Amino acid sequence: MQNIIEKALKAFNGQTEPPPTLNSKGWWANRAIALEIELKSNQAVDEERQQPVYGISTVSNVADGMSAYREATQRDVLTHERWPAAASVLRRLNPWWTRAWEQCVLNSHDSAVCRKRRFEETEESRLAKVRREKLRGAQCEMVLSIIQRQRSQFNLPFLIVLKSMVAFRQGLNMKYWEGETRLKQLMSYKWTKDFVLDLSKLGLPMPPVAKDICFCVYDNCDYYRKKALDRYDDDAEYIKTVNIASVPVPISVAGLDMREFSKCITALATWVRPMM
Amino acid sequence: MVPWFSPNRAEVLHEVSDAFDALVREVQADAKWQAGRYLPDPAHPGTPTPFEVWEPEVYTGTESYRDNREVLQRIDTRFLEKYKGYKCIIVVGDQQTFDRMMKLKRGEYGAYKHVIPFNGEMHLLAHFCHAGWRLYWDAMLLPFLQLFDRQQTVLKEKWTVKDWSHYDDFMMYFTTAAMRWVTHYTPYDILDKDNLLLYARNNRTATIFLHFLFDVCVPYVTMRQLLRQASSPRMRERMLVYYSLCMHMCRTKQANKYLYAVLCVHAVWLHHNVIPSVRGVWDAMSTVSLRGLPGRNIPVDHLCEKINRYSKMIMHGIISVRRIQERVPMLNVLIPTEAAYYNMIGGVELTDENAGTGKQSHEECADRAYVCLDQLLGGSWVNFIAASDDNNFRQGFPGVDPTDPFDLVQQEQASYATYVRRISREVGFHQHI
Repeated sequence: MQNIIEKALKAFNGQTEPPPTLNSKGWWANRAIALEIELKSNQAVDEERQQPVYGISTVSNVADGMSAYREATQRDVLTHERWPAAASVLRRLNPWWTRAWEQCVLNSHDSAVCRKRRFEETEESRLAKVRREKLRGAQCEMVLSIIQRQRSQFNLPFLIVLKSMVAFRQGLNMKYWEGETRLKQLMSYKWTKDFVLDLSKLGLPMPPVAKDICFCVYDNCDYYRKKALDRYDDDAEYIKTVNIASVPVPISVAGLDMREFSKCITALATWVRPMM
Repeated sequence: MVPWFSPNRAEVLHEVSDAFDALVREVQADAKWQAGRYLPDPAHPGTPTPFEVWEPEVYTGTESYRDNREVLQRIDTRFLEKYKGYKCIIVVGDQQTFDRMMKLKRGEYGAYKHVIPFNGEMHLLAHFCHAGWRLYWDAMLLPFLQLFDRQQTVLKEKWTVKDWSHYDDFMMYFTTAAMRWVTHYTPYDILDKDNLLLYARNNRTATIFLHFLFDVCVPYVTMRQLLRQASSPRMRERMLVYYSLCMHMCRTKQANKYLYAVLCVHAVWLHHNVIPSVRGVWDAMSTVSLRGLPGRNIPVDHLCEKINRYSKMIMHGIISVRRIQERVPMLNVLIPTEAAYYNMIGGVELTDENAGTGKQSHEECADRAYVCLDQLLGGSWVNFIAASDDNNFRQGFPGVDPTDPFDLVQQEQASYATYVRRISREVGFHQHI
């Protein structure tokens, strides 16, 4: 980090090398460094969460290295409370781009004037406006995410990571996936698989649960391996499996009374045995 | 047991009447009302239910007792590792799994005394629909579908749970059309279940139609909506009332769902005999919320069905044991992430069309069904109640006129009462029921 700051300061003071040409790789690298220094010095704060923008390390892999960058992305994905901040960080880091984008797609229809003229402001219309703004924000973030991916294939914009995970869950067609990866709309299939595999080992945080009573569900799930479609030399095979899922019992609803429990056992024994 | 499963029990009569009245009020309040639309759920906490998908058991099924024993053993071991000293496990499964667990408890009571089985209600609902479907197929549904789909119906008498969504759709738009028709033509002061049956008793077509509406459609739609609510003791009580309707329907030879009739009895017995603290857990957890949206809960076994479907999707058609074991636990992250993603990018509108939950409008089908019903039921209240022994649904339809389905159910109710009285004398343990 020290080296980066020194390099940035030198670059800004023009002590060593001439400034890179516009839009060159060096120009973008310097811009990212300058932005980070500015953010750090200004302590830019997320309005919603009071979280320093700089604290969101998923925006750049320059400062912290690839490994820490990936881990930070994993933390963001697993902690749903961080999503609003993580999913809007590019907008807040790139106000110029955001403004330009908003101007490009500015709708000539002024909804505020129109509504004032024709309708009264109701709770429903107010909520509709909030939803629209929220969606516009997400759209803007997605455009910036694609731009960030074009800067470097190692960048992991939050929305694109999420979108890739959703595509993975839904079993997106592989050819379509390849095309989307080329267009920088999705992370690659292999990257997504590895990422989700790592995440599933970490696991989502679970609320505190009761320890005296457990709750689970299971059902059979059979797979038919077709010889024509797979990569194996052996015959087609029918694989029987059982999927099991447990649902944590909240402490608020649990609380087993052992006296009651032994009565229950007696009742079950007397009832089920004669029916055999 | 006889009084509990009696069709004349006050709770059953009140529940179905109240459910019908509630639907009537909804139709009267909204001309574009459709059955099965998402309803608000004020008691919903607004957060998704956490769950954990385990690494699947491979080369194991749920048919054999040996496999079920293995699965229960694995569940036991896993919970012992995680929560040392836990007292009991509530295990939910479909009819087959539930039945196996009940019988394992009977046979090896000491080994499974801590296992409390409960039946998954998605399967119950689908089979309730199927039982009603088979029961009314010859007398009403087949001729109606031929008219409705102009001889090109794709809906069949025999179907499996995999096809349930098509039949669920049919039930929804048929109920919509039927409720609109009944509400439109019936004089306001006699618009309730008992009066309708009384006035229409001399018209065979009307009686069959009304019995299908009151015995199958209204209970089905109400159960469907109940299971979308956050689980609560009141919701569980209401659900159990419908078990008694389902049981008699499933016992008929035409419905051919004897195992579900057994399940209904077992489920009711368990609910009444399990200790209050365990019942409290089931009352609070019988449905789960995938996206945290109120009014869109699903029964626990439906969650497992979704896991099955998703696990096949993420295999991308390349099936091997290693891949299955590696990929299925990925759903622990993928399912909540997908839900949260949709919530974030704008699935915040709670109307059916915009919620991203795949619900479609039944308006067009409901309108068409209304026209068909209008044609078959006479198009007026006077024709609807006019004395007639003909079944208009089968008018011009080849084949033998079948026995009225509600008569078949009544015969089963009588035979069940006789059977239970005989068994009660022999066994002498009916005091637990």
